Amino acid sequence: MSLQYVTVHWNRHKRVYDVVAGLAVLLLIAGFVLVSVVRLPAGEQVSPPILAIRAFGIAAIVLLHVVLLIGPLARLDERFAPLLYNRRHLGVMLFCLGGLHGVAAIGFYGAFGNTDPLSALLASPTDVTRLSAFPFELLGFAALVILFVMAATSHDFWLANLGPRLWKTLHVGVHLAWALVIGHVALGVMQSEPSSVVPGLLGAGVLLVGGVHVAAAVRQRSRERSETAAVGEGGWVDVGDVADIPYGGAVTVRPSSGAAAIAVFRDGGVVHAVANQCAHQGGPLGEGRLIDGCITCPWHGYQYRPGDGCSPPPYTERVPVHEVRVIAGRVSVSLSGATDRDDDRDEGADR
Amino acid sequence: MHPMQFVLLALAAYLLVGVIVGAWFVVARAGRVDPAAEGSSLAFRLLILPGAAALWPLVLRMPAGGPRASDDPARRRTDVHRIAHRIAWPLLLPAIAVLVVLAVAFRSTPATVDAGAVPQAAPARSPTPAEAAP
Repeated sequence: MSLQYVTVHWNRHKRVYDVVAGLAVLLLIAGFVLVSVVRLPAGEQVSPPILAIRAFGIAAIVLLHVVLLIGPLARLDERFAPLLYNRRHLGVMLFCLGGLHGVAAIGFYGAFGNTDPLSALLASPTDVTRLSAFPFELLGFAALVILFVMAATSHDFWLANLGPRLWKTLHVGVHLAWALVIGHVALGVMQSEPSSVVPGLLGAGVLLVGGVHVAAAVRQRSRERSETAAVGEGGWVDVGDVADIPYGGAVTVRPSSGAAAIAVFRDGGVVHAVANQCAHQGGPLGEGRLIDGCITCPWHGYQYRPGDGCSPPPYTERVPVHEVRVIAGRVSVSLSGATDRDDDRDEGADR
Repeated sequence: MHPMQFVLLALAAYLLVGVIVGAWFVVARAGRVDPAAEGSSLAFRLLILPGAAALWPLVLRMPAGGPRASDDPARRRTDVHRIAHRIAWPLLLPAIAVLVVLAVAFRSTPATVDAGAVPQAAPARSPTPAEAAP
């Protein structure tokens, strides 16, 4: 949350997250090297630089798939939501691994000519009309550029000053990077390796990531349809029975007019309504809970007081609050009553 | 010059300008754009430098002293990304799957590249007149 920026905002959970992720990557690299050295017959052994290129590449592509799976899995099952908490550090780790793969490949394959190594590798004679001679290095390079921009702008400073909408636009580039990496592997190493291991693993990864994303999109669509509500007279939107709002939890309502979604919380005997989007990264507050009396975003734990939408001091984030009325057990929220000014706040409606 | 070298040259020029603008931004401007960055550590400034270098055209347009972009509710809305995700993935998945299948179907098999063939000696040739000359 705000206050003065620190270099890396680590806490105990983030340290544990990073240590586990780092160890998993190291284990993966060590396992790959071990299997390559021990299991491959003498005639198929590769030199140490090529082994390093492959090991970094394998680790990067596995991590890329993990990063891409976290979001949709969290949408399909909230038990995966804690993995979202520190996903940006995974992204930085991913760029470092991809960068090591790229630097090792450029250094090994492009260092022995008259031109600079990068130009030598990327500008080598190729044939875009034949799959087996396609310049697959370009695809990997483009993916690495996207991952660099994402890693370079992963700090909260950029999120706050670019705004969540633009920041997210830059960071959904990871989907394009994934497609480029799949092309890089399919048209690169898969063309030179006659075994069925690479196509099998790559195909499984594509089906897993793609299948989970499509499933999450279908689920989200159906959820949004069920949350859509008509806007009535005076800009009031009917939310439903107060008994349908879980204690300490919320329901989300999406005005049919296209206005921003609203999260309606039930705090004991009081109902509060705030904008559904977290001020941090646009997380769905309506899927969060009331913890220590504060609305808590399920993505990164940002908190807001339900009455005025302000983060508890010393933090300064806030989300707009909506006027609420409860008549004969039916809850309605006002679209016109939205405000993000704490001197003009609504304290919620008593049942 | 290969077209790719032009692209790399343009990229290098972009990044060179980016490093200059980024250095100015993290030293003199970041604290005015965002009060939470005022008086921040050198490590923090170094950490945001690559971002400033990569996005220097945007960085030059960041207003000083105004509210941060994240304070504007309109700039927080990410509905468009959710809608784009819903449309893009059902198209992306089959496209990528087809690419992988084609890449498998048309890859060079060991038979076509003849990787396992026993190397043959080069055919003998007669010396050219120049080589034959004493």
